[in-house]
Amino acid sequence: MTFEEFASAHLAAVLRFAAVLAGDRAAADDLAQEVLIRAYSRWDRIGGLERPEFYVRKMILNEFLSWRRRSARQARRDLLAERASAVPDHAQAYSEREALLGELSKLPRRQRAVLVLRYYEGRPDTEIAQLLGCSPGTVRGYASRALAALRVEMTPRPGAALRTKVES
Amino acid sequence: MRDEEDLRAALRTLERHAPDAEATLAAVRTTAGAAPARLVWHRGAALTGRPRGWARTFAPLAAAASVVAVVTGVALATSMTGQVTARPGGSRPAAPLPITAQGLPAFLMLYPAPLHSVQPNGASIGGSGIPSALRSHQILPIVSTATWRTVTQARLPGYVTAIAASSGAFFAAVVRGPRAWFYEVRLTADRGGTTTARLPIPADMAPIGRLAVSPDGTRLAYSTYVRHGQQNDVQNLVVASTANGAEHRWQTPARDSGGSIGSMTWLADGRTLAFNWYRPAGEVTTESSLRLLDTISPGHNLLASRQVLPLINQAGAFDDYTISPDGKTVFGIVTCPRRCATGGPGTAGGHPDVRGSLIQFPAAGGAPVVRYTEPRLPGTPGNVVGSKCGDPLWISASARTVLLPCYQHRPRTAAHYSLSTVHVVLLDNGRVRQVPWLGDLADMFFIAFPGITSYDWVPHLPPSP
Repeated sequence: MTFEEFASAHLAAVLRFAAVLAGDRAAADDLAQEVLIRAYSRWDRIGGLERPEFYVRKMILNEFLSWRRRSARQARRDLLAERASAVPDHAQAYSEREALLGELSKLPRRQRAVLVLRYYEGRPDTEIAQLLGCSPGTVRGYASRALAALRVEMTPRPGAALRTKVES
Repeated sequence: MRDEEDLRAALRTLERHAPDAEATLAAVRTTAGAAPARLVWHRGAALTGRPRGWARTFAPLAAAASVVAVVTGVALATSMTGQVTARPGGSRPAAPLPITAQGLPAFLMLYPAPLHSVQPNGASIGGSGIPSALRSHQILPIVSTATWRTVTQARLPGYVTAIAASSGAFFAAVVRGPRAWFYEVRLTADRGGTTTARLPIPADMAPIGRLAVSPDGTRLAYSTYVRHGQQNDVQNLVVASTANGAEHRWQTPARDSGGSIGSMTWLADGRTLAFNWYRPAGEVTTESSLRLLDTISPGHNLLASRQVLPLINQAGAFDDYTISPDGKTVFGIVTCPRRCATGGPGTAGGHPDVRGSLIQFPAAGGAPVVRYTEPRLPGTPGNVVGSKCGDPLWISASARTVLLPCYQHRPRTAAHYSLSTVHVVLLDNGRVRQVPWLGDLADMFFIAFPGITSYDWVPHLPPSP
């Protein structure tokens, strides 16, 4: 797959994924550009993979998660907290959705990534585990903690108990 | 209790933040085609400002998502002439700009600080952080020193937190979203416009403190803020190549945490970086000093740099020093709020009280001399330091020429109304000339001349009755 073919077929979705992960325009812009510039310069290798778009998503995910590890993470957390605690306009103040987004922004990045991959992208836990480089059980752990923090009631996922049993 | 569908719906609303595909694609192609992208993030965080209280609160960082419809990769930015350009890796440094008949660099960049005091965490005192009007872009004037008028402007795509200048171009740290990026501004051939390009230096999430660019424009030094409790201490120093982003980083050892970096200046050799060091952070003490760092030598310990001159000495106490490009002369303004820590008002060159004067020290050691004292206005009470100068705006290579902002103030007395004047003087080998320029200076401003970025202020002038 050439880079142009990738862009034509998958770029829009990748950019939306970056936006949902990052949570705001500027951060999404930075995240997408940094990864795509890197991917473009290595496309001769990435384009030969079985699923280049999956690899680019993984790059975006890694870049997003690496923010957390930076020594400047406090600044980032401060900013996120600041945004979350910023006084919105009155219409937003009572918006449940905005409140949920504010709480999402305060989640640890790995937990947020799991929620985005599971509930926005609709990916199964096994694939999320592959993207994050961990076990499906760990993914479920992240999801469970994140949902508890957000006070989201979980719908039983078909087969979840079975998978857990198999892994244990 | 929320359910999963609420969560899905909330996440879908974030799609509205998706970047524009066409613009992203164009940036990726331009950038990746022009330079190997260095996109590693591993920087330490952040720092503080300068000893003065007003400055400490001013030192900006940034916050807030800007909705800048801009820029990209190693990026593109629109110039004031409408031209779009990129700074490809390995591109040549800008050719030096001319020197005027007065011996000054032909152009300077002016950064009038916003009136809002923006703290390093992006918030302002009693305010809401970066003023919304400044989040998307800032336009900075470029002034000709031949006419002292603004000849063109540079448009920077975000909130500018620091500026600097090489002999041929201007540079700015710009906060966009939660990160700071670095831009180069060049004058067009006819010098009637500018082109602005993002440098291939990795963005930093830490607030940028000070910026300095080597004379040839190939190496950019910046300091970042680190928060320690209630303090915001400058502790990290990065020197990055403007051609490819390759960087070297210095930090203070953990045992020495609590210090901070102030203004920085490159020497003419393009290798030695002079910086003011405060310990404790932001405080002028006997442990605070001007230091010289050899940026080519290995190692990462900031304090392996060499101390040149303490900020408190026999001449008085100094907020900071500025060193001449040849590294031989150090300048400072004596600032003792009441009495200098040395026990008196400061002495130099036989003068018993040199508060407010420009003092000149040989960097290699030796007796200080008074280079300039602003005259007092008639009627100023004897115990009042009414007239004083700010840090030099520019110093020539051998310190023969110095550009200096000064003001005179006479408080109201029984016999006189209060009176204040502000002006800029050019000290030229013993001669003092008034410069017909004050710019559109707000009460705080940065001025980037090649080699020196001055960060100073002009007090509000009380209205004359």
